[in-house]
Amino acid sequence: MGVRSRNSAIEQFVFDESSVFLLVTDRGGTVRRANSYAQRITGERLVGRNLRDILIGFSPHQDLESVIAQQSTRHVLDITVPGGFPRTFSFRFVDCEEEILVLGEQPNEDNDLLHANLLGLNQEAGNLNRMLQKQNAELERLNELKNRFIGTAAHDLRNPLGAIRNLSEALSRDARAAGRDEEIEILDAVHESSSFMLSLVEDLLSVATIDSGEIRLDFETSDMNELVSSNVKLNQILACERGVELCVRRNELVREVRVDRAKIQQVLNNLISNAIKFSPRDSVVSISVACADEAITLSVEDAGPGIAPEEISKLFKPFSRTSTQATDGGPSTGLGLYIAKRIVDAHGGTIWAESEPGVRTTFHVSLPLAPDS
Amino acid sequence: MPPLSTTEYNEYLTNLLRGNRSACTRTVEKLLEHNIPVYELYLGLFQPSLYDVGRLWERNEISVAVEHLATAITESLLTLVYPILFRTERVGKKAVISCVTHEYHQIGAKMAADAFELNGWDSYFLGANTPVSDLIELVDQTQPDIVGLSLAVYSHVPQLNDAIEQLRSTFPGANVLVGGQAFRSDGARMIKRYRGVEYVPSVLELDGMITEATGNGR
Repeated sequence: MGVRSRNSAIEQFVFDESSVFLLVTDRGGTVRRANSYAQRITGERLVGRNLRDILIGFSPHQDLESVIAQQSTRHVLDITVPGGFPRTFSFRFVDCEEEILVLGEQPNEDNDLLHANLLGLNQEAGNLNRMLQKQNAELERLNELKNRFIGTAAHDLRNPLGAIRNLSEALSRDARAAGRDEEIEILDAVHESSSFMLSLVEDLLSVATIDSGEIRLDFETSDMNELVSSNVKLNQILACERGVELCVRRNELVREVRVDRAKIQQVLNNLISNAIKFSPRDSVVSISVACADEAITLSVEDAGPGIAPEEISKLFKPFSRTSTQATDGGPSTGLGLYIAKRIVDAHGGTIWAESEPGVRTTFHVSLPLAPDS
Repeated sequence: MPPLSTTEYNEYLTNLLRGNRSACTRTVEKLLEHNIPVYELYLGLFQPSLYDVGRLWERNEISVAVEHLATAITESLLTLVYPILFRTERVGKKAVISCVTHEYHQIGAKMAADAFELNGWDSYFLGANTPVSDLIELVDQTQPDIVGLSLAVYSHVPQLNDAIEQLRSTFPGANVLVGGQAFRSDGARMIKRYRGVEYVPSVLELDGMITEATGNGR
């Protein structure tokens, strides 16, 4: 290989492989050759394009001859990068008679600054991560403390509240027998309030157990039609009081399912009693069971006032109450649906609600036929 | 679990130098799964590997970029320990740990802050290049039982002097500890010039000091 061809090969190698931005243009600034680094940076074919389209704010007709005249001067210019931020290079323009060699290097100080900033950001991210994890641990500790407090308080309140409720009921019976109307009114109010407080305490105990991660499921094979029927029987008294008809659509195809019977009864009881409480007199609450390949779905539909779409997502959060009132205006603990969701979640199932305000609301519970437990 | 073998250590170091974050993460996760004590992880893996990286850089065998990448990876690996660190039962004591102004090496200080957490203390970690005014403000806000200052580069001693002087004048009764690579040759002698400031040569000795401070209600 002769000296000329060897130099040419070296030149070609440097042109192709070096990590500097290299262009060869004609005297008017139109690119004749571009090295692979330049192509890679711009992501586009450069040959045939003019420098004014590549270098931001550069006007070849005005600037090119003057910059060629100062060969050793560096010009800091930005390159347009399609779909990205412009990249800054330090350019020199070298006069090669008919052609101009445009040589761009990334300023070292920029790289150093970038490097230092990235390191600083990494440290900052690490420190924030540490702070976040520490605060999470602190929140977990506080949550545990809260659960323990609620659990203890609720447990200690349950027995005296039960006694108040039962005694007020007994006294109310005596008052009725004796026809003491004033006493009946007072004792009924005591009975109603203590019943509500007792249900609140029961719910709080369930929440404390669930939130502390102590929810235990005792799975057993259960007939879902039978579970629904027995729960409907339990709610029949409430339905009669409110003048609501309970209609069960049994599904004989439904297979048996492995669930914690007591906990699923708790879910069913919540959904059915809620549906009764929110139904107008002389309406129907429908309870149905459907079965697909891998899941069984229970649905409870009422003809109550419904739930506004923006309130649906709040339904399963603790202590959340919607603007919808029970038909008799009675109080709600705001915990029942949260507890139901946590029980269904623990079974690997899903609970959701659909509502047409003013027409109907349906709650669905889907449970896997073969839970992971 | 047996201590880390030389082969395992070398494999980790190689991955660290190659910038192979996921391989390093796997090594640490495996060690944590086998319940490696936190100090063993810090003093048997993180600290020596960073010292080795520093030595390679000093001998010009690796670039500063590789050193910085190894540090960044180690910094991210420390987060894997946090779930263990922060679940220790709290003892109601507080420490503020900080690097001095212009000091950008913070991993040692972070390990010191972690030692406090492991002992049930609440540590407030201020990180690299902390202005003295920020340090004074946090000490004022939190009223810690101990203030720890870290210095990795000897040339930052004037900034340490400044931090200690301002701490002394603002909080005359503050318990101040100092430590870090800058003191490795004659730390104990250097510290004698500061009244009421104690030198901590290593994380293990810091642990002993914390245990003592926890017990005697200092």
